[in-house]
Amino acid sequence: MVSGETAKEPSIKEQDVLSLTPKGSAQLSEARTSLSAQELEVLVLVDGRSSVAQIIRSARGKTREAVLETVAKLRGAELVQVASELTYGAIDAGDFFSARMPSGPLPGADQEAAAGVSSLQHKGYYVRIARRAGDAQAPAEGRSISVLVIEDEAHLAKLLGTYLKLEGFVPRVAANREAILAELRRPEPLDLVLLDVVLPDVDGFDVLASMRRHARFKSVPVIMLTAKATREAVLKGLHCGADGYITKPFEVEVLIKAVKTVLGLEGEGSGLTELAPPGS
Amino acid sequence: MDEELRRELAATVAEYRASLAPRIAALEALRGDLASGKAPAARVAELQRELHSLTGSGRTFGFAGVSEAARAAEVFVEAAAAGPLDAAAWERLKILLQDLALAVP
Repeated sequence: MVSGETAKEPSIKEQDVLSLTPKGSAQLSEARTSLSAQELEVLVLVDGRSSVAQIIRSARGKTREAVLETVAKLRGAELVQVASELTYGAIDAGDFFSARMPSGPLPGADQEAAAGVSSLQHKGYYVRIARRAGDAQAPAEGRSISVLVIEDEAHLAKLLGTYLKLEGFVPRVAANREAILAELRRPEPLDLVLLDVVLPDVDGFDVLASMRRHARFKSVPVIMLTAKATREAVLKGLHCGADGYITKPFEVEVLIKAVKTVLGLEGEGSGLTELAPPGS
Repeated sequence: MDEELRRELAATVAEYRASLAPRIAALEALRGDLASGKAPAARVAELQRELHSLTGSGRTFGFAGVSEAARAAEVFVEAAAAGPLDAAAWERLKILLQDLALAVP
C-alpha cells in the first residue's frame, strides 16, 4: 500500500491525463510490489497515458470515488503524474488536426476489410467487435452515456440526437471543424463518437486519426458514417482505428444496434424505436 | 418525456421534407448556371456535395426514393465531372433532378 496524497498537490479531476512516472513503470516491471491489487490495477490502466475519466470507465466494479482516491494515492507516492500538456485545454486546431492517417500494412487488415465490406453490403453496418474486446470501457454505473454526433446535415444530426435521447443516451452535435474542437475541449466524459466521413472543412478520417493520437480520446469508440462501402474505405478506417462503420443512407434501427454493440450494451434496453412515418 | 421526443422526431421529419423542394430547386438553378457558364465550373463540387447529402439522408427520414434519385444524380455528376460536361450531359442531369423532385412525397 502507498501512503496518501500530499497536501500541496491539487485534487485530481476526471479530465486530467495521467502518465506513469519512471518509479511507476518500475513498479509494474518488478517481480515484487508493495501495492494493493486495486493500486496495481489502476497503474496498469494508466498504460502510458490515460485520462482519469477513462480509468474510471475501465475499472469495472469500482466506484468513481474509489478510483479517484487510488489515483490520488498513487500520485502522492509519485508513481503517476498529471501530464498537463495533454489536458483538454491543449486541444487546438493546429495541434489536434495535424495527425494524418497512418501508413503501412496492418496485420490481418486485408481479411478484416474484406469481411467488413461484406457485412456493410449485407447489413448496412460493420462493427469491429474484436477491438472492443481489448479496449472495452463501460461508463461508471448511473452515469449517462454521452454520444458525439459529428454530422453536417443539420436535419440528420437533429434526428439522430432525438433518437439517441429516446434510447437514453446524451447526444452532443458538431457539424464542422470548429464545432468538433469545441466539443472535444469540453471536460465531460465522451463515450462514443458517430463520425461522418464527408464534412465541409475537414476529413472524417483525419478527425479519427487525430483522436487516436490524443491521450484523452485514443480509446473512445468511433463509428464511421460513410456512403462508401468499399474495401479501400474500410482499410482506411482500420488503419485509423475505427470501431464500426455504417453505410449511408442507413435505417435508424441499424445505427442504434451498432451503437449498442460497440458500447457493449447489445441485448439491453427497451428495444429499437420506429421512425415516424412520412407526413406524420 | 417519450411523447415529447416523439413529437420532436415528427417535427424534424416534417422540417426535412419541407426543406427538400427548395434544396432541389437550388440544385436545378445551379445546374442551369453551370450549363450556361454563369457559374464557374468549380461550383460543380457544390452540386456533388448537396446531392451526396441528400443521398445520405433521405432514406433515414423514411424517404428511400429521395436517396435513390439523389444517388443516381450524384453518380452521374461524379462520372461526368471527370471531363468537361457538354450540353447533353447538362440536359441529362436536368432530367435526373426532375426525377429527384418527383421522388419527394
